[in-house]
Amino acid sequence: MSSTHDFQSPEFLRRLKERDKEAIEAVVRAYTKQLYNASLGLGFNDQEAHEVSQNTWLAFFKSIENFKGNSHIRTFLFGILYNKAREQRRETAKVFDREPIDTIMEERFKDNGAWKGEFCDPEIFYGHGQRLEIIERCLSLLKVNQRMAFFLKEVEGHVSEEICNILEVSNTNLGVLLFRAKNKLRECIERKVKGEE
Amino acid sequence: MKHNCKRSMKLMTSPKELSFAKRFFLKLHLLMCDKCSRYQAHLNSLGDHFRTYLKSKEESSQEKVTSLEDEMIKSLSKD
Repeated sequence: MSSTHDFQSPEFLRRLKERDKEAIEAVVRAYTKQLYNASLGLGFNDQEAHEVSQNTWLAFFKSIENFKGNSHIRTFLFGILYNKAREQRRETAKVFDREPIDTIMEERFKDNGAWKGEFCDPEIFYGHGQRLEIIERCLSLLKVNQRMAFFLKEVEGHVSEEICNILEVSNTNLGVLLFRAKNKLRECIERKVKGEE
Repeated sequence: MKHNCKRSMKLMTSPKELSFAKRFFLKLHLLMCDKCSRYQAHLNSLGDHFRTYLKSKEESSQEKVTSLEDEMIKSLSKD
């Protein structure tokens, strides 16, 4: 259905603002699955994902009057979803407070800039019997903004500029979020594969 | 000797498109450094793991998505 509509056209936006049923149906059918799956990716269960997606749509139509069409509807929607997810998890959007993973990564290097330890073979984890459970537990260590950045980059394949707009962060802050998300996940998975916890 | 693993690690996690010089440095370093190559393989696999995890969650969600769509269309439409 989405292919027959130009969601960015002023005409389509006008129809959405007037609550035209066909326009609403087109946009809801086009993006609900993405919102719901993003909510699952952020660690919500089915009931919570339903609630977060529903709240996102309600907020979208509440604020559509002020939407000028400067960004893509998808960017606008994901931005709302991100705020709803943070509200649900009661997290702030702070990026710069130092986290334990920053120290862990500093300590991974010798003074001369070389790695201290060894890494396990990444292939081992692909065949691990508890792979999904481990991923779920490791993902739960990420904050909403880190998980959202990682989801948008790795799953949705959004470009950095769009992710920065959704999360309302600078490119430098996005780098910090992705650095922490990737290293937290990598460290956690490796510890579990090595049986260290 | 000054090692470049720390610098490489930072480049590998960067969200930015790397400049030619940085890409060249990284490629060269990865050719020579087994530990960084393995670290990069770990990073590359994270996206696969996340997608696999999500796929397992999404498989059972299609009906729920359709029902949510219907609910939203009904409640948001004027008539």
